[in-house]
Amino acid sequence: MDTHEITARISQKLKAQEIVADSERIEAKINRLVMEFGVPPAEAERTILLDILKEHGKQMPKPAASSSADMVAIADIAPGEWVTIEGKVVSVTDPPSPAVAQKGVIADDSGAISFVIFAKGAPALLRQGEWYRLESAVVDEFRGLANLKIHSGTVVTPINEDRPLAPVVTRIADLTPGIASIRAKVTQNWDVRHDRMQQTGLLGDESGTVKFTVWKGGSDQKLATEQAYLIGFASVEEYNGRLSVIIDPASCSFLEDDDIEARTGSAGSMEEALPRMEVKVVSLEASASDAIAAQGIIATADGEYPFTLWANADILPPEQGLCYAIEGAKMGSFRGASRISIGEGALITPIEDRFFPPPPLTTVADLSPGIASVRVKLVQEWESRSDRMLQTGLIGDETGVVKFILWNTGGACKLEENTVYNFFYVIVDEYNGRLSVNLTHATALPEEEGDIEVARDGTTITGALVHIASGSGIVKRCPEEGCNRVLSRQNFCPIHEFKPDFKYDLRIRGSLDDGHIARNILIPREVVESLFQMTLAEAQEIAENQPLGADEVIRQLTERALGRYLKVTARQFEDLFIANHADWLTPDMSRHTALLNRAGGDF
Amino acid sequence: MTQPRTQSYIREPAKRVFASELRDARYSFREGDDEKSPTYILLPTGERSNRIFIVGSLTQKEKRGEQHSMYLARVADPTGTFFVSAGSYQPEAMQQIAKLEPPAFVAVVGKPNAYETPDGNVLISVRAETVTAVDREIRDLWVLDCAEATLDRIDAFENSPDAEAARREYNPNLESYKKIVYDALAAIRQ
Repeated sequence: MDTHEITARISQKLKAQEIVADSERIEAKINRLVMEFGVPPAEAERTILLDILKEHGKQMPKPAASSSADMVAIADIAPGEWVTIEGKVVSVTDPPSPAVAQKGVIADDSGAISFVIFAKGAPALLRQGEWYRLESAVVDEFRGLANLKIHSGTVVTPINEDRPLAPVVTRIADLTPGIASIRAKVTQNWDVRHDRMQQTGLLGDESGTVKFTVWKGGSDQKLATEQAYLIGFASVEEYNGRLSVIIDPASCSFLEDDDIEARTGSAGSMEEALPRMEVKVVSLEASASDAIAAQGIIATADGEYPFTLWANADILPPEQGLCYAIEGAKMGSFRGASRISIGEGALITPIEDRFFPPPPLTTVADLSPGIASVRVKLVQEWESRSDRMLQTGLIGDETGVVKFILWNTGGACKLEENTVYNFFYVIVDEYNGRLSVNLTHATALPEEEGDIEVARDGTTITGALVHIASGSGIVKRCPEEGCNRVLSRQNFCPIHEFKPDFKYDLRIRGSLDDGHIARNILIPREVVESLFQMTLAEAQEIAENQPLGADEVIRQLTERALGRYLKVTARQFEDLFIANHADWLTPDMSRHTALLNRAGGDF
Repeated sequence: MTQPRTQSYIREPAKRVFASELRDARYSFREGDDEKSPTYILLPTGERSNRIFIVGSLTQKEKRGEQHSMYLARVADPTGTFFVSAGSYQPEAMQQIAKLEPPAFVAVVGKPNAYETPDGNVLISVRAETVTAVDREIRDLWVLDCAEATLDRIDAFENSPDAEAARREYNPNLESYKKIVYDALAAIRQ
């Protein structure tokens, strides 16, 4: 984010309204919104401008329809402006949804921009190859790129212009997100992994390489490998710090007598290079494919990771239990988890044995995706549905139970009943919010004696407390033996009538919602007390002495609990979950890393 | 997810969705002909939503009307802006917004509604049921939660009962939603 640039833009807009801007104050506001409150810069800019205008009793100026004097070059337009341009429609694409009438790219001598026409109130559609004058189009930002919106207020005039438009060619090394024309050739064709994709691979010119994609729906043409093309007005997108180019083969032309000395090499891998590190091979499994020499789990000074040794590294697989120094490895991701990748150019040297402590024991309730150690026993065995599966079912400890899988790889042994196991290096996966534990490559240490009281009825549920129901907070209960009903405000029990000698209780009834299901939850007194550090006595004090009484208790609890995330161990009665224990959830950086990898993986 | 027959009312779960995905949504539909049947907004990643849970920064609020007043508010997440409203039918949410001074982190539970703007755009606004002041830590948790939910929807797209409608209405480029998730996660990196 460029604070100065935003400040300058705000100041300029204020000046147009004859307001003298205080740059320092504007910058402080930007920093506060963006850094402290995580507001996207565009929203911060809008907010600050509006706030200052309001202070001066003015409103956001409605952009006036611009006259021809205001015509701008496409290369110069910026999001947030109303503009008038003249250009040639160089491509139109199928609308992505019924709400959109047309999408495409319009270009002039300075550059090109995507345009969109919404179906509702759409002016006439534009024709490819024609020149138009567009008055009062709105430049907005769509996924980080400037986009020209042609709406019902835009005046579209065809112009009689018939000159060819020479695209401005950009070198691959100089590409930035937006629309660009490239002179390049296809250096690699990759497998298409998506059914809407027609072709994908790598383009190269003298300056570098970039990933390209051709989506289905246009022409059926494919780009030929090793053929030089002039690729006109392709859209350049950025993802995960890497650029990729979306190509319409129809706007590519052969460059007959032209050859390009294309650079080869990898497409700026998203893997992060790792420094030399010392590791211990904790487990090793046979390779499933020719491309992979070995895979397993290694322990490093920073924790444990699955690893893949690629066949192209041309290195003999390390041995399980030995220590090595690895140079030139990379941190990548596979199916959502961080994974160390040892490929071409990497070096593995044996080193003296050293001790890497296994991950510390985690309770089942505290498991999160990654690699962990647990002390558990077999709770339930399920019928395995596949020959490849040796055993599956539930394992548990004092805090809860979790599904486990043991794959049939020769080395693993079945778990026996009534035995406590210490498993080191188990792989914890998550699917649809449910965890499962893969024990296949874990080190299993059965205990000779020892037992665990497994919390069988404790289901762990997490979610946001999205609703607090009436009847929460401090309540009065009927003191009659075995009754315990909640009394009305007038201390009336439906069975035992008026009971002025009631007992107080504290509870929260509400909905814990994980985004898939909203569960009814009851948090009883002990759990409320430990969650809120508010004892029943304190709640009673508030209820009896504050003007709002019991309402004040519920107000305080609501303020502190609503919209927060909880991890609850609960027993279930029909559709009600009664909490045995509850903790506030805190952000987990390893979850953050795993999600980043998942979002960035496979691209 | 079998529910006991005795329960006549199943609360609609609050879907986690980033502002920029919700901004792309425009198709709403009703299940069944009953007057009380819920209205859903179809998310481009292929799931219906009748209720959403969002956490972000309240950047602006504006009071509309005198007698039947309502509040309009803007809540920003790392990907964009939610338009939140609270009227006299949501007194608690309205009072909360009235009390809060922007900028402030807020958690909002509410119902998404689609309406058309004069220039033909469809805007999704969120009618708040509850609004609570929270802190940055809750915001970070929500970004993780929402990132995961969005990635789960993308991964399960082919198997979603709403995938066909999503493909028909949006023909979504799922990779671009993955990018939104990536950018949102990158934005909360300390």
